[in-house]
Amino acid sequence: MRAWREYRLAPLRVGLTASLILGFAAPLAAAPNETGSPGSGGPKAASPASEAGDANLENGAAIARRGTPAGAAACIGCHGPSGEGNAAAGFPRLAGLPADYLAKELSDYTQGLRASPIMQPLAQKLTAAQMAAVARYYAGLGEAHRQAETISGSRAALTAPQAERARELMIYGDERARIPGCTNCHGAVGLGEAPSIPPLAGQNARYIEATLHSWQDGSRHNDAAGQMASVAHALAPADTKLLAAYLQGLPPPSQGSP
Amino acid sequence: MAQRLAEVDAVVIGVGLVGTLLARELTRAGLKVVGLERGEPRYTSPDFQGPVMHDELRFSVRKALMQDNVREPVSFRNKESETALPVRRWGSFLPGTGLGGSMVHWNGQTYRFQDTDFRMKTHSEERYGKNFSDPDLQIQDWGVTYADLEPYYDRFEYLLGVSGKAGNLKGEIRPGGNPFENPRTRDYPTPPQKEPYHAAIFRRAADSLGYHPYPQPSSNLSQPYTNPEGVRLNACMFCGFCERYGCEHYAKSTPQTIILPVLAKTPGFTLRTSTQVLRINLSADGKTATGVQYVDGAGREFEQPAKLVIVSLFALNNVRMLLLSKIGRPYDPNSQEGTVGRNYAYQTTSGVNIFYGEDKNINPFMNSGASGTVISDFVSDNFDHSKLNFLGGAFIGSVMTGGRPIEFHPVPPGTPGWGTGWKSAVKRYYNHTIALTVHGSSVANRANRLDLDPTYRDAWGLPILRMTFDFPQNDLRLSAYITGKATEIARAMGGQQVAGGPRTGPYDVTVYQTTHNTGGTVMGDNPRTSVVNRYLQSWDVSNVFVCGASVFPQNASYNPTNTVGALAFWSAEAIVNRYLKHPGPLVHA
Repeated sequence: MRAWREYRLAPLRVGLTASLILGFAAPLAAAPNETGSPGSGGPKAASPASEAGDANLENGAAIARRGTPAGAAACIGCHGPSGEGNAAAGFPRLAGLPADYLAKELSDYTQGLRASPIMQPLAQKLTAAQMAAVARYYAGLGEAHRQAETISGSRAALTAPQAERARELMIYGDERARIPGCTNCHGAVGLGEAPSIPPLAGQNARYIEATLHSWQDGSRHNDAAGQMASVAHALAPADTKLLAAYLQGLPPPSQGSP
Repeated sequence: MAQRLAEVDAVVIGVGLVGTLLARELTRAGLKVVGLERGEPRYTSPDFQGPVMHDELRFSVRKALMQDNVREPVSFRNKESETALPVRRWGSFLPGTGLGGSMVHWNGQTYRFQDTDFRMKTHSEERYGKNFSDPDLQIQDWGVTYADLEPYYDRFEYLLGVSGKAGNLKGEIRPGGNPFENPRTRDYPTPPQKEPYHAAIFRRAADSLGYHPYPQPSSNLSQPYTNPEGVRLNACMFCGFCERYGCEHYAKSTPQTIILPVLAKTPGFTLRTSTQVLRINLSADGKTATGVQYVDGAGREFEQPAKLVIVSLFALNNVRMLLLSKIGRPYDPNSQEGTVGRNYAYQTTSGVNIFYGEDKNINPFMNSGASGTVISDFVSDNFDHSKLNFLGGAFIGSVMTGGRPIEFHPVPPGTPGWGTGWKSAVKRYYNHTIALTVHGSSVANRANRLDLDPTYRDAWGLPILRMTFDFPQNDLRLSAYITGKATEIARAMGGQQVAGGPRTGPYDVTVYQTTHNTGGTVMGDNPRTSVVNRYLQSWDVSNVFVCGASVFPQNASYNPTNTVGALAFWSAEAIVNRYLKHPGPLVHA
């Protein structure tokens, strides 16, 4: 756990600082009365003021842990006790993703812009305020506990030339396939760009592969610029697998951005 | 001792937009073509990728992608009585270099000129009489009409994938487009880019005053697109790093994103980079080009024989190449003899700023190079000049291209020029200012011209190009009038304060305006006032064709690139369908 702090990189600091200047309150810890999950670190901070009634951290944590009275299941069931996801099942990491992005994805599920037999019915049971609350909760989660073998497993899966190919794709893209480097939008080390561009670093490989396929087949079509569909169509299947495995092995966001 | 190479069918000097287009058309016709490019090869991946590409100091301030003016500057003076000095730091205009040329780092603003531009002399005389403006103006017809070029504009726009909305479809005026445009055969290949907030504010104000706002046609595409060459472009991400930067997203139409992948697979095309062409070689009687002479990156000299030479080095360098090669007669403003270097023109730009309260976030960083909304009510001869004292026009628009931290710091008048007062004003107004653009035409006159400098030489020992230019009074009067109209629109845009002013003389070569240098190898029907005929073929050496904005007799209200591309296709077709079948002059004057 502690080792993750050593990966705290300048771009993330800049991103956080920029968020603060732009006036986003940056929740730095789980709600004070709800600590207990392993791995939530960072200094404690007071809960930010509510925006719309119940869109505050305490409620977000409650939804994540217990679900809602309307019948939305608890997020931790699939997304892990600290939002780290489930690599084997391909359920994505949520911890440290931007709050605006998470809330938008939940909303997009309800409008059919993003197909999922699991998430669509679940998102439909959430109000907008609940979406905002749970998004803020996950954005603010500290370094998530990760299974050690997940990381070493993913690194072991790539040979040196494969890792080099993946890194090249991530940074430079591919001229023949007309693919720009992922880092142009997803950040120099894949930590994303709040509020709208999610981190890829530390996201689990199965989920990344599945998502790229959903961009390709159109079952996810909530990118107004059409950028991700272009990328997904252009990526060769072998490259998709390499890239996903490589990204899973990168250090995940260690602090949330709102 | 220069090494003589095997003869090829054609040499293309300069592999930018025009060189690429001509190389494609000529190889498609079966010719063996060598493209000689002064600069480096470069491709979207890896060379234009971020974050390296978003280095404002390197690319905007230090002009990393521009012509090296240590080795090859231009000298400048405002008038004949002055001594021209080399421009040691590019300012007013930024000539490109490298594979893809300046189209790699253009903004993508893509307009068609009007018929009133192509027939400016005849039209102005019909409507306003002869001698309407100043007597020293040299306004000329182009020798082609809009109707001649329409199919080539169409072809060029579909090659690029231009994003826009037609205003005149086969004579029928369409709402939402430019009602002043001449008829188009079809709509744009992709829809307009999203309208930024600042442009929406402009649109409402312009509407309220009875003008006709429409989305600026953009070669930063609004959606993924595959062009007729089978090359695919992506959608623009509004990153705000367009002009002076390569596009990392494959979203800006450049030679790299529209044609070079095809040329790369064409066996008949050979690309040589880091080759500095010294001159076009001529036969003993001076009437035929025999090829070109160049020096490669290792300093070795070569002679490349060729049956056909395409001069496509960018407007300024086209003129210099003809002068160095002694093709045609240099223009002498005093005797009015000669034509090469004659009718140099530019662009007359100005701006108006609107400053807002802190409650209105403009977000200037979210723009593309060509997003925005404009009006053409004051373009060309779309308005009655009879009570005015100038010819020409300007478009007015809210077309901010970005909010980059070093360059973008608008402040209201009265702000101190430096120090704490300046810094707090920059902070206060960075996200609360709209900057309108007035983009005006440029007439040619007797005095403005290009020739070879008598004193200064480039790194290869050849005389550099000398530019003699000041704004004609006609254009300053144009700027005063139309900037006044822009100010009225600005006042209707709901800000706290409006500030701006027209372009005033003298022309300052150190301050950036545009890279729309035109003229010097003008096209026309009369060899006494033009260098090339209507097919861009040299009157003097019939196997030399000159393509680029150097063929414009004067510059119009709009940006040149679309017209440069259309003329390149028009000329290429004449070469392939007529010249190659019967080499020799295509026009007998």
